[in-house]
Amino acid sequence: MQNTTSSTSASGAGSEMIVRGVGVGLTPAVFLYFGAVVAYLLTSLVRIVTPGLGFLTQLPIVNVAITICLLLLAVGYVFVAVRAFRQARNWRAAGETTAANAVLWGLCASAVLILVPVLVAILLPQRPATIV
Amino acid sequence: MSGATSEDVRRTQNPSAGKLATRLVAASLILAGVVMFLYMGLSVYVATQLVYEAPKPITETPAKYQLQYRDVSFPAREDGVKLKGWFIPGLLSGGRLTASRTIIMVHGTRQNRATPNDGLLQLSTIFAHNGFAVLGFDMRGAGESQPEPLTVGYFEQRDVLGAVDFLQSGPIPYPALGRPTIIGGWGISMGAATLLLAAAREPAIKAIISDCAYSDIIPILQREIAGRSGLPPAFTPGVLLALRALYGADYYAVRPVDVVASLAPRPLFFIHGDKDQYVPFADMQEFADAAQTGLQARVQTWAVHGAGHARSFRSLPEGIINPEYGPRVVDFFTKSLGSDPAGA
Repeated sequence: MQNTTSSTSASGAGSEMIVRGVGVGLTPAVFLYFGAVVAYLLTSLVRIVTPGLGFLTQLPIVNVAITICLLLLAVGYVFVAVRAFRQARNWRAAGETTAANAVLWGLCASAVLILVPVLVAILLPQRPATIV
Repeated sequence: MSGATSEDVRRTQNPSAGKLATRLVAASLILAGVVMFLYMGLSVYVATQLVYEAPKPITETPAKYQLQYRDVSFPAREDGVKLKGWFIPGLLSGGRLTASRTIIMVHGTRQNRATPNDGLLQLSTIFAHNGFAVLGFDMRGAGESQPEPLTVGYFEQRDVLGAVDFLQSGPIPYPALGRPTIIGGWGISMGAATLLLAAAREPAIKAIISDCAYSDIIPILQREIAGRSGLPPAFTPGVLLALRALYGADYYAVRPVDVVASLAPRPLFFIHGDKDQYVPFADMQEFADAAQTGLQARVQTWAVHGAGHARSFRSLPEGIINPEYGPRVVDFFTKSLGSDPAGA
C-alpha cells in the first residue's frame, strides 16, 4: 500500500515536472505571439494618436515604432529562448532529466508554433488576377 | 529519477545524444525565429512601399481646353482630409453656363484630376460642351490634395462622399448658377471602384459610369505584390495585415462587386477594354451579373475592342481619342440624369 502511494506521488511529481518543462519550452512561442499582438496594438495606437501630424510626418513615426517593436521582439525572443535552454541545463545538472527533456520538447513545439502563421500564409488559397 | 523514461535514461547515459538534441532544438528555434522575423519585416517593408509615392504634379488646367473653371477645396467626409479640385460649369447653347447636372470625375491610382494619360480633361471638355458641369478633384495622396496613404478605395470613398457634400452644401463655385440639381459620377480604374463603393453609401449619386473598375482588389494585390516585390505570394497576407496595422486600411473590404446590386435602380454603365492587362476583363461581366440582381436594375456594358487598362477613352502612347466614347457616355448621362432644365 505504501509502495503504491509513493509510486503514485512520484508519477504525479513526474507529470508536474513534464508540464513545467513543456511550459518553459513554450515560452518563446508565447512571448512571440503576445509580443506580436502588443506590437500590432502599439503601432495602431501610434497611428491613432498622431493623425493631426499629417501623413508624411506620421509615416516615419509609424515606421520607427514598428521597427522598434520588431527589434525588441527579436531581442526578447532570444532572451526567452536562452533562458529556457539554461533552465533545461540546470534541471539536467540537478538530475531532473524528465523536466529537462520536456523543455526541449516544448522548445520544439515553440519552433513549430512560430512557423504556423507563415505556413498558413503559404497554404492559404490564393487566386491572383490573371489576364487572359 | 522515478519519472524518467527509457529515452531519458539513454540520454543520461549518452551525454552527446543530449547535446545533439539540444543543438537540433536550438537550430530549429533559430530557423523559426529567422523565418518569422523575415516574414514580418519584409511584409512591413512592402506595405510601406505600397502605400505612398510622391504625387504627380498638376500639369494642365481646363483653361488649356478653353473651359471656364474655378479652383475648389473641400474636406473628405468623416475624416476631413483636405482635397483640392476644380469646378467646370457646363456650356449651354448661346454660351450660357450651367451647374444643374454635375458629373463627379474620379481619377485612377497614382494619377490626378489632370493627368494627361487618361484624358480626364479632354473628357471633361466633352461633358462641359454637352451641358454637364464637372467636379474634378484629386483624391487623398494625389495631385494637390493632402498626403495620405493609398488604400485603393477603402478610405478614398470618403473623398467622393466629400465631393457630394461639397456640391450639396459647400460654397457654391458659381453663385449665379446655383447648386446642382442632380449628380452623376464617372470613375476610371481605382476611381471607378471607389465611386461604386461611395455610391452605395450615397444615394445622391444618381448615375454611374465605371471604366475598368476592379471587382475585388485582393486578386490584383496577390498578383502585384508578388510580381513587384519579387516575394512569394505567401507574403500577401502578411503585407495586408501590416497595411491594416500601420495604416488602418482593410483591403479585404475593397470589393465593389459586393455593393453594385444595392445601387439599383440607379443606372450603371460598365466600360472595360478587352485587352486590359491590369484589371481582368472578366471583372466587367462579374459586375454586370452582380448588378443585375438588384431590384429594377438598369445595367449596361461596353467592351471596348483592343483597349488596354484605362485606355478605352484615350490610347497611349498615341493619345488618340476613341470617337465612340464621348457620345456613349454623354448619351448615358443624358438619359440617366435628364436634360438640363434651362435647355442644352
